[in-house]
Amino acid sequence: MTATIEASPNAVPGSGAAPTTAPRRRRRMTVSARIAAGVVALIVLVAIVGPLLVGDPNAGDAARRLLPAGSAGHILGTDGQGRDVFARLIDGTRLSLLAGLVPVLFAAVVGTTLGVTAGLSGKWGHRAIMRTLDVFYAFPAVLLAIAIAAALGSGISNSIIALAVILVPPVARVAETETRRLADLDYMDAARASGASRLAIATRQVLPNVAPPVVVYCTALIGLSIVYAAGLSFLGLGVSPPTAEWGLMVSDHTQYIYTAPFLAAIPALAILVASVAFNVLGDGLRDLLDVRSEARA
Amino acid sequence: MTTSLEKDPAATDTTVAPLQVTDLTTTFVSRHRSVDVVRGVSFTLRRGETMMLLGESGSGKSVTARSIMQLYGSAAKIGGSVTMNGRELLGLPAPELRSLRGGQVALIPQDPTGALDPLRRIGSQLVEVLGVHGVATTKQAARRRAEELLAMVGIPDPKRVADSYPHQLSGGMRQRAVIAIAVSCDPQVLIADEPTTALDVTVQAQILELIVELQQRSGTAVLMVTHDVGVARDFGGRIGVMYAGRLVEEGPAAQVLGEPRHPYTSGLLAALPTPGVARGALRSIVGSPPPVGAFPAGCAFAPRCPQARPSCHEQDPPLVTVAPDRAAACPVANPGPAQERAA
Amino acid sequence: MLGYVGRRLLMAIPILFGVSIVIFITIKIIPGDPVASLLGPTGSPEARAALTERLGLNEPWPVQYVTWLGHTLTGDLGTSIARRSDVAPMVLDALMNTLILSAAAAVIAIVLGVAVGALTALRRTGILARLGNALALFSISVPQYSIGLLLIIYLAAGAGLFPVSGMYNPNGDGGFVDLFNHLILPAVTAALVPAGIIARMFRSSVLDVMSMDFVEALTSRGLSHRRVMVHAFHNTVPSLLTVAGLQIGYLLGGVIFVEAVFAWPGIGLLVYQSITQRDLPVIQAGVLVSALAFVVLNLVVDALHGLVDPRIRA
Ligand SMILES: Nc1ncnc2c1ncn2[C@@H]1O[C@H](COP(=O)(O)OP(=O)(O)O)[C@@H](O)[C@H]1O
Ligand code: SF4
Ligand SMILES: [Mg+2]
Repeated sequence: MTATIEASPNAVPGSGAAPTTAPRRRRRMTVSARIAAGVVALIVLVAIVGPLLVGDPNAGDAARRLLPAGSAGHILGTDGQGRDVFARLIDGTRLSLLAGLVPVLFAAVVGTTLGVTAGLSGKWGHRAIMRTLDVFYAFPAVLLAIAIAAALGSGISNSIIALAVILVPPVARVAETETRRLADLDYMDAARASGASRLAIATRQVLPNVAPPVVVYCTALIGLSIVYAAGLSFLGLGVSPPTAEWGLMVSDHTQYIYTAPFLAAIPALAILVASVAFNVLGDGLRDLLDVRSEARA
Repeated sequence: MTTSLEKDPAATDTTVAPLQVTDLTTTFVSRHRSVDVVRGVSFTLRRGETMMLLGESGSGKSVTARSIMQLYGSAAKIGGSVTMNGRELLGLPAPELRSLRGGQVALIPQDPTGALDPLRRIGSQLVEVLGVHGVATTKQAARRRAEELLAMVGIPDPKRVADSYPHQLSGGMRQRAVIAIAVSCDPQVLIADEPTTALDVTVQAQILELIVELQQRSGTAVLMVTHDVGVARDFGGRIGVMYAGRLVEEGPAAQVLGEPRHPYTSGLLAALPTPGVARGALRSIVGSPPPVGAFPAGCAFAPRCPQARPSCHEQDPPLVTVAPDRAAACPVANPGPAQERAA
Repeated sequence: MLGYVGRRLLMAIPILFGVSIVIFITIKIIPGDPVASLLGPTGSPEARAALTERLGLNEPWPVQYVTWLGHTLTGDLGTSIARRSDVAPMVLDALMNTLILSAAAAVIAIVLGVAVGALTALRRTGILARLGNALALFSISVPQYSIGLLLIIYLAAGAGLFPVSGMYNPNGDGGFVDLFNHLILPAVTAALVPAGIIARMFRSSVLDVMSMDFVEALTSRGLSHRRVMVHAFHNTVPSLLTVAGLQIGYLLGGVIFVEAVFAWPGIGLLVYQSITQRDLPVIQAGVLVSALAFVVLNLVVDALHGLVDPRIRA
């Protein structure tokens, strides 16, 4: 037997460990992530109070249609039916955000439950859950959402259900990967040996560790979900006219692409800003919580 | 830092030394700061000789080895001098450096799995190196030579191994293959950086034996990096004990390990479990080594040294001769005339 | 290698079985009455009963599923409600067009993504790297329909550089140049999001590989920087394949927006038009065929994966 310095039985704690190069720096969010957090907060604020501050988004004056941005009383101009674009943009924030947010919340709860269950189950339980989820990976996600939404009929709740269904599998995979990683660590064995029930292990040992990567992943997923939700509306599968909603506005405004090209760009820009903000925030959270990056949906 | 190794004139004839390192310093530079990791290391490696670098993990052994081969590129500033047969290596133009690396000086890294390209067959990785250094000119010759080399490092079925991918081999076989690549161009200096740490205990001894055998067969000089006193003891040759980026003691392995002069070396040896001695009775080194970038002024070992004096915290003692063929960087090591000479 | 592909093929069977069940369920949850929508409001009770019988809607669900599966496997994808014609040929034509568009977009996405990813990985500072990173981030957040619209506004309608919609000129010769001109804008539009994701993934994969030990080991053997980079990029291929495969799958779904905007006569446009007409058989068939194409694509990617990475062939 050769003895090593590292393995020296009498070494004072720490004496064998490789020295850290520098005192551990406290992790902080990057500037861009903090800006993104501010934008997200602003969007949420507008979603809550915005509709109370602007006038009726459906009030239109046919005589004043397609006014350019900057016209008197219409900062962003009017649309094809003479409705104020700014009012519709602000009013539509709530629905556009909800349509993207709710599916992710649903997917976070269901996906985490499935993923943790699969991760803690034996071979067959694990297989049953993960193979079933694999089936959903066999569909191009957007197309599956479209098929489900089309089958259920248009309406915002149906679009939310459709999106939730396609977002569950990737969240479940993230949760499952993390659970399996934890299950390989010693302290889980210790918990099992101490006679803790499966449910107790799941809620006390696993959940607190699975939560950070899931939160990080879902934050970025909100950005994607907002784009998808608006996309379903754009295709006529979300809210029905004349409700103000960003995706529907894009599709509304597209008819005037030659007469008022910027009109379609306004709601599209709103979708872009919201989506980028959530994506950047997700990246920032990942750095902050020191979570390894995961594959995207 | 000044180093005054006083040896007989023949031994210091640098023109014949395959490797001479003088006052080597390595500083990692990043945008925000620069840290000294190796701080004035000097030693001479003669033909057929073995030199051991022994020290705790993080003491700068691997960085010393890689600095000699200049593998850090622009990430590190390297100072001092590294010569092979009298020819200066630091600052050589890239093409000459390339023909040197793998040609005259070769590296066996710690983890054989990481040292091989996982997507290429062993044979093709060997053939590539042979081709780069012009050892074999035709494909067939290179392939034949590759199989010979694999057989030479004790691989029983070289043909099959040459056609295998790294993941198809055991850890020991992989390390043999890595060694075959390292010795493929008959290097004068072989640098082995903890070549057995990643391996099973059972194959560790075999790999060390293989290195000794290759060394004896071709007269290669070996620089062996290890944190394992047992390995150092088995290997013999000369030994340099490293602490915080500096050599603190140097001399023939048997003498240094048998009768250490520097308090750090004594601490290392005392930390070893000895048969017949109750574990609790062992002395060991208190505390942990200083992190790079935060070396204390004076002797870096002072905060942990049981024999430290007030002056130790102010002045870093140089490596001086304390006995024939032996040097140590500590006034305690030789309270006799040598210390007065240095002072 | 053949054994590996064979195993993959076997594994695809239960997946396809699951796919068929999911599609069947979406058919069954449709609210409303398929008989009524086929007959229209004027159908007599006798006609209704006859049609219900003929469609097998009185049978229990498992029987209906087996019947439906049998029809599907023999290429009978039902009848379009809106067009009163067979769905199968309609969907296959559209699939061909979608594959043309997707293939073009995939090539653009991979070339662009690899270029930007490699650039931002190897030159981590500087204006070009920052630009690349920003581009990658924005492109993954952009709603495709709005990009398409902007391209139409500026390049097609504004500058008159490219045709705005369709696949061929109605009075053109239907040749390759005509197709190519029509293809550019929708392909670029569809490629943008996948290009961004591929760029981000490829960047981290290059950084991963460059920090692997063998890169240093190869340098220590005297290999030139160029040779070392050949090894390094070779090692990025497996993960690139995985990402590219995923992204091409995403393309197959995402092209629906692009096809809708550019009136490209593919599966997406077909499904889009069928949504407005509530023509469910066409929607289901479109999704089924896309899923099939996706599964086949995954098999191809897996086979390629096995070809470049000996570790997963084992
Ligand atoms: N490329 C590098 N950049 C910055 N610091 C490094 C680098 N490589 C090693 N170091 C630091 O140098 C110190 C010595 O490392 P090393 O030579 O690997 O120790 P060991 O003696 O265990 O081989 C360590 O603290 C390590 O953090
Ligand atoms: S110089 Fe002083 S502190 Fe350093 S080893 Fe010697 S006695 Fe100890
Ligand atoms: Mg080391």
